[in-house]
Amino acid sequence: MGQLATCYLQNIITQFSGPCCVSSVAHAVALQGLHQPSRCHQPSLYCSASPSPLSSSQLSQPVPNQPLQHFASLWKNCCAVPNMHSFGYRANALLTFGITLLALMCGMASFSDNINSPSPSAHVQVLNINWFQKQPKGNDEVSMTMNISADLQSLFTWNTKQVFVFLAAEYETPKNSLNQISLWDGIIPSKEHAKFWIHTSNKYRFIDQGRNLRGKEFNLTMHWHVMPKTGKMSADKIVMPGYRLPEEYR
Amino acid sequence: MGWIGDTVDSIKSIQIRQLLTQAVSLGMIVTSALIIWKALMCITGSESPVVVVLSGSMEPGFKRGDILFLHMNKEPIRAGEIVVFNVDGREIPIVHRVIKVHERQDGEVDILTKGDNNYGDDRLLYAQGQLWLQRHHIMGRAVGFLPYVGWVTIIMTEKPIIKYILIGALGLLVITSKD
Repeated sequence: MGQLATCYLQNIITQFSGPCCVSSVAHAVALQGLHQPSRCHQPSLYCSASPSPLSSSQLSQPVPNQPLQHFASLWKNCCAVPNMHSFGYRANALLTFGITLLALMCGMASFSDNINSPSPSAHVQVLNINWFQKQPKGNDEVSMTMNISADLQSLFTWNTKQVFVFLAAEYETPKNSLNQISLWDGIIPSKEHAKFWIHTSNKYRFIDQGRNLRGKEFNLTMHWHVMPKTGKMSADKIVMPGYRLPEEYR
Repeated sequence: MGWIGDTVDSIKSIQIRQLLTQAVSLGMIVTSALIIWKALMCITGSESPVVVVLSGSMEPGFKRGDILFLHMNKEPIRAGEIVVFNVDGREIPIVHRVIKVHERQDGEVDILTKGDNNYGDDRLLYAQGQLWLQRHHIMGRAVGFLPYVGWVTIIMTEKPIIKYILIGALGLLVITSKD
């Protein structure tokens, strides 16, 4: 019982290396012999699988004693080890099996996300520049009203918990090779809400590091981050180029 | 009288061997855990590859007790990514989303973060007068997610009695187990 953790690793190795579906008796016995000295026994996995091919193949032969002998030797090799049916071993086997199954299911759920090939669409319209000015500290700041519409339904799979979507203004200045400023974001909890249309002014302040925004061309990029119920997170974006700020403060 | 002495000796030697094997197996558990942790550190490049979410500031994405897998590499940090960062004068790292990035020509970067569930950005959480996070504050970015498992850690840190009971029980089992 104390070696649960080390046994867990060993159990995983033995489970994946084959004895779950034992085909020939000799193979099974050899495996049992091999495993006897080890400290991790899993009676349920080994014993249930091995006798069945034996009885079906051997019973058709005229000598009736043989299968019984084989069975006895199997029993001796496999189950007559002291302490085999103790609570500790059963708990160990159950725990190992449970955790392995759970991990496998999580892995499969995460992997199944790769099969989905989404085709989202987005459209943003800048309706109005509400105001555009220089802050006392010298940085340009702009406020605008936008129309955002998007269809992200194809991003949702059965392993999707939520999709985080945000719209960022991206531009280059002489000082900075990249500026990304989030203007609006939202959490989409389910597929039904994934096709939306929103009329909003920028939720976060659009402030430059410097005074470069007059007449600045910028991209509006719709980013989304898919959060799975379990497993790997994924992200992608749609870049919408060709937006321009006014030449003068207003 | 010789056979009594022999028996006592054999019993003694068995106990010492048992003790030794138990000590070795216990050592194996501890060292294999350490090996796995250090290997993860090497692979992910992050000084703590697995973190537990302690607060609800990223709900509904990450709840308290969820586990995040971190990854750290040279790739630039971009808006929208979920990063784990340290703030000077704050012991516990924070997991929040990047909302603004200003990257200079030489690769230096200014980052602003915000929790999905928070109303405002994180400038209130940063050190006094700090407006931006720099690269060296970032411990890693979250790449994977496993729900609920972190509750074990949370319960153990908040209720140390449970931790001691668990350690005591395991130790007792190791000592008393015969095989």
